[in-house]
Amino acid sequence: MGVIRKLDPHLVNQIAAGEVIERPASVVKELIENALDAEASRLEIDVEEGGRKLIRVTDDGVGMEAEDLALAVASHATSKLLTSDDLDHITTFGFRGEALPSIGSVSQMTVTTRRAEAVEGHSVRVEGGCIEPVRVAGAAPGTSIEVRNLFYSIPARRKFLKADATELGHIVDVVARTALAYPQVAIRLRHNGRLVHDLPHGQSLRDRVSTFYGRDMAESLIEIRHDSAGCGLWGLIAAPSQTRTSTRWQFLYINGRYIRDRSLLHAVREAYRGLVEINRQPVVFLFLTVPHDAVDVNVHPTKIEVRLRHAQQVYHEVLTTLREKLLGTDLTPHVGQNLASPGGYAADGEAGGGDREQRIRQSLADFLRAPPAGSNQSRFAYSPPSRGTGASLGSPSPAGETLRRPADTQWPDREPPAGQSAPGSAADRDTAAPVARAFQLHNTYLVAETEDGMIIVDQHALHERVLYEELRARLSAGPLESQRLLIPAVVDVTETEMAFLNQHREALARLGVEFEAFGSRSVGVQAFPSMLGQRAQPERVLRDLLDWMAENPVQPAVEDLLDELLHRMACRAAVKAGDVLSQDEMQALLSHRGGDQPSATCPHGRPTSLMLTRDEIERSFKRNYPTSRPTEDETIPF
Amino acid sequence: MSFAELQHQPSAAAALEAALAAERVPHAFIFCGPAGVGKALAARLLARTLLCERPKTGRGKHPTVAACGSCPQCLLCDAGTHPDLNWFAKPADRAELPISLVTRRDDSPQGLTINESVQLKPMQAACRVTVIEDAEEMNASAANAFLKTFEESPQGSYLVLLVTSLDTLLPTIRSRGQLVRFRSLPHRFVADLLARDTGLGADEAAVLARFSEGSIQRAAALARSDFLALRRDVLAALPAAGRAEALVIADAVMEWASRQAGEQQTTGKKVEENELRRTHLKRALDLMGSLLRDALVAATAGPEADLINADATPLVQRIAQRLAPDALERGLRRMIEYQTYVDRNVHNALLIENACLHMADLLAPLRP
Amino acid sequence: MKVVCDRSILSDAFQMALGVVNARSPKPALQCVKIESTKKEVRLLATDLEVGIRVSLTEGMDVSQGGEALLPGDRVGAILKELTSEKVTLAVEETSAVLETEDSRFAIMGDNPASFPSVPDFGKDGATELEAEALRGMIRRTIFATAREAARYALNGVLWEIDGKEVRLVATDGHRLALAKGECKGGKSAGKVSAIVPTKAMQLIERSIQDAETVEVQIGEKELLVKAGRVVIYSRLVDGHFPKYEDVIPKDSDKKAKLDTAAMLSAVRKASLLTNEESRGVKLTFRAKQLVLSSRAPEMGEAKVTMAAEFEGTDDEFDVAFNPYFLIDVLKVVAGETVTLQLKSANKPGLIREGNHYVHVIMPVNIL
Repeated sequence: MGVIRKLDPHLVNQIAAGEVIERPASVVKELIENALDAEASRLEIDVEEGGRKLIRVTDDGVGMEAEDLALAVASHATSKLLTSDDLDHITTFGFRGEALPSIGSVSQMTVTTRRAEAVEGHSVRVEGGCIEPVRVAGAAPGTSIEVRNLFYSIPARRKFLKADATELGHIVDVVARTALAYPQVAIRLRHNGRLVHDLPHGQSLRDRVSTFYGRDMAESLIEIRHDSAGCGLWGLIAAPSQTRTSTRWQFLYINGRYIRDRSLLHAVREAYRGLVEINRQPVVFLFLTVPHDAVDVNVHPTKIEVRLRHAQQVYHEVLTTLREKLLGTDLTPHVGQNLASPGGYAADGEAGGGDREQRIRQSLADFLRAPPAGSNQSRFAYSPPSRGTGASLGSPSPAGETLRRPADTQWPDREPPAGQSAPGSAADRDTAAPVARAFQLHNTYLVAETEDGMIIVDQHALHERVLYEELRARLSAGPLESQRLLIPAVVDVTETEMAFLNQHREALARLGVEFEAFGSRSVGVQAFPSMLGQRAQPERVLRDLLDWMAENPVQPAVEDLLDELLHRMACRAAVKAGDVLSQDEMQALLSHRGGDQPSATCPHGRPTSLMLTRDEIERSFKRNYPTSRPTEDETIPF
Repeated sequence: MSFAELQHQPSAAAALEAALAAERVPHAFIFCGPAGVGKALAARLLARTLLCERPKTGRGKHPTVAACGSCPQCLLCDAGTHPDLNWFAKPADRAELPISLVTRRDDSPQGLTINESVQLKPMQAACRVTVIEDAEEMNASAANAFLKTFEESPQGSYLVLLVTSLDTLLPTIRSRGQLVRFRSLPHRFVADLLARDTGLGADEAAVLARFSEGSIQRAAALARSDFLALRRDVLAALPAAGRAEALVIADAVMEWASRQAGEQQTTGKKVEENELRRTHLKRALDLMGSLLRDALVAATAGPEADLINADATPLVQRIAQRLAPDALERGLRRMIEYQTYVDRNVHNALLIENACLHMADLLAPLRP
Repeated sequence: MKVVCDRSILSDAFQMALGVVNARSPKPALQCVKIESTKKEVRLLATDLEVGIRVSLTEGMDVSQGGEALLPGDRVGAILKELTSEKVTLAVEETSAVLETEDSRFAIMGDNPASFPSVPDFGKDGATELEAEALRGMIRRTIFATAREAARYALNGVLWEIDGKEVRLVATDGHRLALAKGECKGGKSAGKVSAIVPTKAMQLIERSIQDAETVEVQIGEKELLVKAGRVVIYSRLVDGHFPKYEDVIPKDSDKKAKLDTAAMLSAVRKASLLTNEESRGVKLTFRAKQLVLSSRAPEMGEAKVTMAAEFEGTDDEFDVAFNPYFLIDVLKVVAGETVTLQLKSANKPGLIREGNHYVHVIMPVNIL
């Protein structure tokens, strides 16, 4: 309900990317899609200088007749080239079939093609939009499209291209996405003549994952499959122990097309909720099949966003299928014992949907009720709940100076004796996070030296995460302690909101929130979690929650509600950007930064910290050499 | 008349006048209108009258109330030091109006916050007035912290929010404030003021005034920014420009915007400089769009047309003759659309490049 | 204006005034200290628009000509500090003020005195006299219970009530409430008056009356004035409603413990060592002659502290839990050797009394 609705930067980037030609990888993507449309079983992709000098995609597909070839490179607007309408096609890649003219208008492009049954092939050259006549040419069956000097006619655009390695990286991403969706197609990618990937025919998805993301990952993947009317779901998902720090490893395909969809990504995250650490992202490769008329791919020029007609249904399909699989599989010995045994979920399909949902709810409830796991295998391993951290930031009394506890008692150093912690355990990692002197940047970020570089921490994001974990751990042990209010905090509510509050009275009580109706249109909060102290105003937290509820299309389950409230409490209670922290407070907060994850995230998924290794720093200062650093008396080998 | 100074805002002046005369002044006003058309002046005049100890009432068909101009309250108002008139605005180096200006926090500047200004009893006068410029720029936390104060502001505490758009105000605030609309000023009035204050010639002032959308602030900013020189160059080059020349024009526009931003920033912070650059880019898009708009107007309204580029009528006529109205309209829409992209932070250089390419393509029929 | 002043007296007074000045006020006049002089005295005035100070000097001032000046506070303050002479002559010539000793002369550009808001002065009637030390005690025993950023703005201040011979200060943050009573020593009774005073002013008053024996207090429509010797502190008032504090002070507490203040403070402190933010509560278990304080934090451990206590009202064991910091806050400011703690049940407020002049209400914590 912000006053200022600033556009989500992610969205802004997408607008930017969609509105103007982006980079060589976009060309590769279009060419590959063309080849797949031509039923190719083998793709040869050659790239030079990150694609800026050359991109060539050769397939063994059906090829084209001479007339088709002429049509393919001529946009229907040839006759009125360079009118305003045409500009659109140049600056934004159109849809299928319109890609070639667009590419041809900003590069030197040669298309050579031959149908298998034809005796000769044909070739056409397009330079900066000018189409030369189609000529006879010798060629193997299939099509080869060569794009040279991309953006040569628009130097201004050319200079926005990044380093070769970066552009190549984007190209590899595009190739990987295709390779995963079409494991049966052989794909070979070369850069500057050097082989980057060589993927043979007839592989499985698992093989391909292994190639791109390693054998460990591939082997740990679990297959899922669920078909229902209007939606088929198949894929491989990683065990909760195999996680990544970003959502880049969540591959979603609809009808073979790679897509990013917030709602489906959310479904995936929900499915893994509680099973992966909060700063980690699950890895999934999901292939959805929906009737073609149920999906609109033309929502966005890059075709990476789609609109689903039955979005809600697909969301539930993904969530329940994954969730069920995850809870039903004995994936992780260290996940709490209270989870139902694998056998409990073995009989699939017979139970009605309601029944299944019931079981999932039950297991979630059990999960939330489970006692905190043991010290060496805690579910939220990196953040032992015992620390009274962050929460002690800020004095418990408003008259700060009268009540601040002395620094040494406020931030007790409770590192466990070295012998007690198993390697890799929470405590171990905790102590491994070295805390040197820290200072505050713009009263918002903490900067500290680490053993092999430096770290920049978003104080709010980190504190929020720490609090969230603590609250969550605490909640699993029983209701939260609550402070009764002398003067109730009054919140005006609608009738729907009142009903919602009444319905969830018990859940709220577990969190330490008690309220009483004051008439039909307002409630008075009588008790509030004591750990929030005075850093969060009960009125605001409750109001936020109700707004969240209103925005939610489906009535949230009780677990969602609890989790949401935990998030909000943590957010409200955490130190804010702009709060000045004392040295002790900084140290305490930093000591809770788990491990050395460079991009651990806050409960909202924003990164909490940024690492800069000594290597990176030295490279930036040109103090380092590409391979190994020579010692002083060593000469540099050439 | 207390609002005599407020020129060319008859309906706003009348509404305020009437509220004062009837002694029915709502606790919160929302002054909505373009920047630089007199909102702040109106707020000052309103506050002065409210704070005055001996306001003069005029009877007649339209009763009036005006500050006396001589009581201690008026003197303090005129000196700009009245303790019961507090003025808040988005800091130049911030993209938003932060919560630290709304409620007292560790990083609040010394002096009163908005909430204190509203909630403390007046110091000298019988009431107090809190003016919030850029009220629509409050971020979510600031707006929430302000909401309670706004809803429960005590008797004798007046709030005036100055906004350029109602879209981003919290609905509660919008619905509980008395809306007063301010409109663009007539071009001639802006031109006269501009000529008087900047020493520009009447012709030049007239051009800038036409581009100012009736905002004195915007006209003055254009005068400061050497907009006339940019316009001269663009008008000279654009009609003859092919695609290659269009890119040169794009570079020139970018260069102009960046240089102006660099020169005009006052805080040394990137946030401000970027904001200034974006503002200038929008003016440049205005400039290109204005040609299409003029041609469209000329094509439909004929020789009577009131043109923005009145001094470039032959060029406008040529465009109007060679291009179809629907092409002009599409082009104009495009320029407007690009302005919104500027605000959404789409890569500026690419946008301007696209705009110039588009203009060059559109104007191709003008070329031999 | 021309005054020959005792330098150190003037300098000290100036420093006092400077303590209130907002050196970064956007209004330059408000960065100033105003000097007024009449035949009889020299007055220094300063305000940051929330609080104000007025220092009246009679001793060591030889006024040959009255007048007024508005001088940049930090500059003049620094000059007066730096000078070493015994006397300094202060004169106003046209727009600048001149500070002169035998060997130095400073001509300082001043501002227009009329642009400085007047700092209200002590009225003729209705002043209440209090012992300075008693008032400081009352302030100390209430100020810590104020809220900091409450949505209900009035809770950020301290309520004053003067009712005949009794003065009451009340503060609450929604979790606890402190009520301190004092007796008027003399002065005229103004009937029943009340006001809500911002915390900042309360701190200033507490600091400024240290050396005084008695203070005079006057609550006006818009301000609170406290006079101690030559200094008058002015504070604006919060325009709002304070909760009806009588309603939240329990009257049906049927269980009562008599506690040694120091022993209780020590016991609570000990027990609080094993609390953390998620498990804040310290449980108080009363038996006939004994009080056991216990706390438990998951993964940290448990604490149990036993002390002697007189408990009456029930023969059964009785449990109640409190946030120990709330207890520590109040036990720290209590002056007497013993306090009584009155209770009703585990989820009803606890009442701590010290004699008849201090009441503190704390809401319990639900421990499960």
